Amino acid sequence: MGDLEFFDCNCSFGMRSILYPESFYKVEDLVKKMDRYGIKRALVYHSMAREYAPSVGNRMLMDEIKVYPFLIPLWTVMPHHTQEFPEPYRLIEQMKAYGVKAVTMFPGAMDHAYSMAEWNCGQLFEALEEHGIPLILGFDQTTWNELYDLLSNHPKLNLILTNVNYRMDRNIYVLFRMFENLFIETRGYQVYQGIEQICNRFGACRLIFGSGMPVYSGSAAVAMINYARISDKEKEMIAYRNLETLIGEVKL
Amino acid sequence: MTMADRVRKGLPLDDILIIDCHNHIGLWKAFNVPYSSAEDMLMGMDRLGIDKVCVAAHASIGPNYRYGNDIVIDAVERYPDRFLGYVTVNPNYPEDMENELKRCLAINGFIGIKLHPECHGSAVDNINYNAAFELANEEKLPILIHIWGGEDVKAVDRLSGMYPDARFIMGHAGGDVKAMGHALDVVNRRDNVYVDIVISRIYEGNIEWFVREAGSKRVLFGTDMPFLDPRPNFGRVAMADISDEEKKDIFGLNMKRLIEGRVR
Repeated sequence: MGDLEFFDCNCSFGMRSILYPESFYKVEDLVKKMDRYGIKRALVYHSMAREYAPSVGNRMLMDEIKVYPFLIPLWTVMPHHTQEFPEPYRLIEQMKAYGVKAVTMFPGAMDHAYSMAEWNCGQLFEALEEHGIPLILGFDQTTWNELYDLLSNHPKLNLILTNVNYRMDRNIYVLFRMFENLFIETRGYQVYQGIEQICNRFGACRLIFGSGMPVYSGSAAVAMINYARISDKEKEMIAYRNLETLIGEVKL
Repeated sequence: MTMADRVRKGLPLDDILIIDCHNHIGLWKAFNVPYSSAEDMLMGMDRLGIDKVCVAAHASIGPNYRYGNDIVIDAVERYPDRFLGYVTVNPNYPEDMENELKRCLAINGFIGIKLHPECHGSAVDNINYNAAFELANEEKLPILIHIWGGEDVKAVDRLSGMYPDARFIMGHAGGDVKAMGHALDVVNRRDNVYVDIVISRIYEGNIEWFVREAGSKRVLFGTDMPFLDPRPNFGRVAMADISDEEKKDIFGLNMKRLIEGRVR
């Protein structure tokens, strides 16, 4: 088969508090790296939305990606109760106006530090669910029980779990069985031959390519899929089709 | 076609010498390892073009070094062209250390010693390890140590001065990014210290940084297979923004030099 044309569900750019050696932060460098690794499109959020304020970072994002049609905005959201962020109905209006079709959030204690429980985020999750908007959530931002509650309470909310790791089969398998709306990003899922196992047990439809650039290595992420012992069709599903399908289902 | 082009097409690098310096074998308590046998590992090696793996058993870095070393002996004896062994010892059983080192290193295909101080609740420079350091020094053996954090790096700095003929491999290059910086500094000051690249949190630009700071001759390819899938750590070397000659050093030529004379 020819080179896979990856659609990345998890990229960012912008200045960060911690910048590791030989890493990068500018959008133009992200574009160069994507080209080097064969990543044709990406959902991107702005680091300022994570590390400073969603309202500020989301504005900077829209401004800086204007000239790159293959960079697709991924807004960072949070609950509205403090008025730091719009109410869900207003958020949806804004997303429609700007053509934003996916969101991420950082509720973890080291980031935006709020509870993901229903009493705090229920209205937000309901709005995302109603409009088919995928939520991209780092595993580092949550707990297994929170995930279970979120998926139980919102069975139509498509959840892409990113920043996963190689130690999660004993919990993720049962969640895959229970919830069809759960997907995982491939980057951190470094179980040996684990991609093949997931494809065999649950189908390639549950895996979505993501790199985590610029913090994490794009080359490591693409190699995992390029060398997978699965069919070309399954590789294409993971590389771009599954994400295309989820984005295509958004109703704004 | 460059190495990077071949990775984009998922082609094995089977014309390049690739020696994976950091592997395991067998099951592990904390998570599912669905493919853990020697045969399972051969499947992954062939897919990428890895010629040889250097293994220490999960059981050995865990509770039972003898049980684990026996698994390694079995793999090395059944696949002598593909599997090389590290003998793993546990400092909590010092009375048996010399015997176990001798028992395993007498077997063709055993190329060095593996220490996992963290799993064995020990400091890197625990005096109970001295028999291992002395033997490595005497026989110019590679000694692969799980290194995580600045204190571990400092210990290797001291030990590599005390045992100048032993060949210290700092597993995970120090583990966290701050410790990696210190590890590269030690590599630049000590002729007998190397870093391997194995890590699960694979940071963008990491390989380029290692080569810029320490050159390509002291950086070793490793994957932790089957603890981790080898493909990500393979891809980050093959597609790194360094020359193909530097990649060849990392992939196999450096480790080949380290084990020369050990395999009959």
